[in-house]
Amino acid sequence: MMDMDELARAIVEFDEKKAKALAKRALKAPDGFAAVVESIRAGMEEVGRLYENKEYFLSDLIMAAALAQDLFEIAKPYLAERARPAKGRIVVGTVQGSVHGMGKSILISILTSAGYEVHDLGVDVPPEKFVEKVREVKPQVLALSVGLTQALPSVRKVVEALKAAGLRDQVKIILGGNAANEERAAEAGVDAYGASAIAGLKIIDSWVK
Amino acid sequence: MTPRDRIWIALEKGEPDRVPMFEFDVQIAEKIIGKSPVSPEEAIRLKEKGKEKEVKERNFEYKVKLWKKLGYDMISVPRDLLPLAKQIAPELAYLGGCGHVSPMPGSMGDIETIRRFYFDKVNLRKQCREMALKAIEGAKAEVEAGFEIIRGGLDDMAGKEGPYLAPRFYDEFIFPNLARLARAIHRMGAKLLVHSDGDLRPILDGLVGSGIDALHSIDPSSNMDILEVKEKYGDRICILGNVDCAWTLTWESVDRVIEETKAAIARAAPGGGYVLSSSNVIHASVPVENALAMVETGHKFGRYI
Repeated sequence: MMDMDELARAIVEFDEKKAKALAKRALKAPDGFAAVVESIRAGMEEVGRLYENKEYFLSDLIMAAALAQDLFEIAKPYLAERARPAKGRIVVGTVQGSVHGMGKSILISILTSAGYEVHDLGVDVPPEKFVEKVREVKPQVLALSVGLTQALPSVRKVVEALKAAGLRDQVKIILGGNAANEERAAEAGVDAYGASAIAGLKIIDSWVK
Repeated sequence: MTPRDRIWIALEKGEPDRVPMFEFDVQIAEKIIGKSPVSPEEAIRLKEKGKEKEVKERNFEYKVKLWKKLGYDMISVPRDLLPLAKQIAPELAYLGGCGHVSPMPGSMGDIETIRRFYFDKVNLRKQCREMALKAIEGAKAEVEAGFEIIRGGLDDMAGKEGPYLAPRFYDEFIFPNLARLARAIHRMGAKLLVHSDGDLRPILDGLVGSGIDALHSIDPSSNMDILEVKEKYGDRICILGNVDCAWTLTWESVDRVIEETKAAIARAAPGGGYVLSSSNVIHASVPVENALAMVETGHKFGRYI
């Protein structure tokens, strides 16, 4: 295990009580917000590493991500002006015809932990909503999720709608979800396939430098 | 050999005359055998007149007609329709059902259920025990009504990325209660069938070790290799499924469906203990020619010599 502070370790060990107490204590210090965010990032990075090594499983990832979300909520009021800006903007949503949301929720928690500003459009999202949001927030990345193979044509429709709106060249698109794979992502015309939330984060990090 | 015998021999890990066939559901019945005798509008009208039972019976008769046309060997039957099933399809194997032995987070992001496995262990343990006892009672009622095969104990417990819960939780909370249910069902002279999509590999030892008799669906879209499952567990469980309804049956050509069906038979049928089935159900988006190609391939290439 990498060298981590107590808060990061509490996240990795799912010690909810301890993590919340440590965060509250840390936030009282002048640069507490940045320190807490850094601990969350380090903790989630370690959870991601353990997940990739198959030492942790989906529920471990979800619990750690949920805890990270809770800690962000606790830290939010302490957000100082000099706190670091978001690493990048990402619009996330499950395409029309697909109502599965678990993978998307995990991705959102992990992206938030990693310092991204995330705009969640929810599930069963029509193509025009994606276009509208991309136009509004100008994200670097659009992350699409598809849970059912029957909904795969909707991915292509989002890509086409962005092209028609003249926005396709301004945003990178990544596809994940149960019904996705490398080949289907390429067929739909997106830029990459994310096999898991952690893999997705790595790809997004490589795009948003 | 009757369909019931064919299924039973497969459940005993033996070779019947041909590989038995089964689906939980076929949602394109109208495209195969013509219009349903009860339209959705008529069903509402009849239900309003208190004729709910008539609707159920007519729908079930329609389902039986489809099952016979396709040559499936086992059919899911609600308990109140078992007498009708015995009357109109005495040759089929009947699949009953019982409850689950544990709460399980579904794929919809049920974080509260997941949280309980981490932070509410005492109450959860008690709840699992109670659920197992209830499932046993449910199975007993089914067997007393005349069922020999029970689906239950657990349902979907994994997704494409693996088990929904960390394997330690299955070992701690779930499998001991599944084993309790399996033992009780065996004492009743019946068999326990468990269905789950997803990549089960990290928990397969525990799942099979709990004493279940059959496992459906060996989901190929989640990296479940039927040959691997067969080689490792084929002497302990009967295997059902593996023809990919998420992709192959839905989107590929008839030739590809035939190829995948033949491959499933070639890999899982030798030695017995295999039931040909899709990896979930024949859902509404499966083209009729693909569904029929799978069935015809089963009949043609599923013969044991």
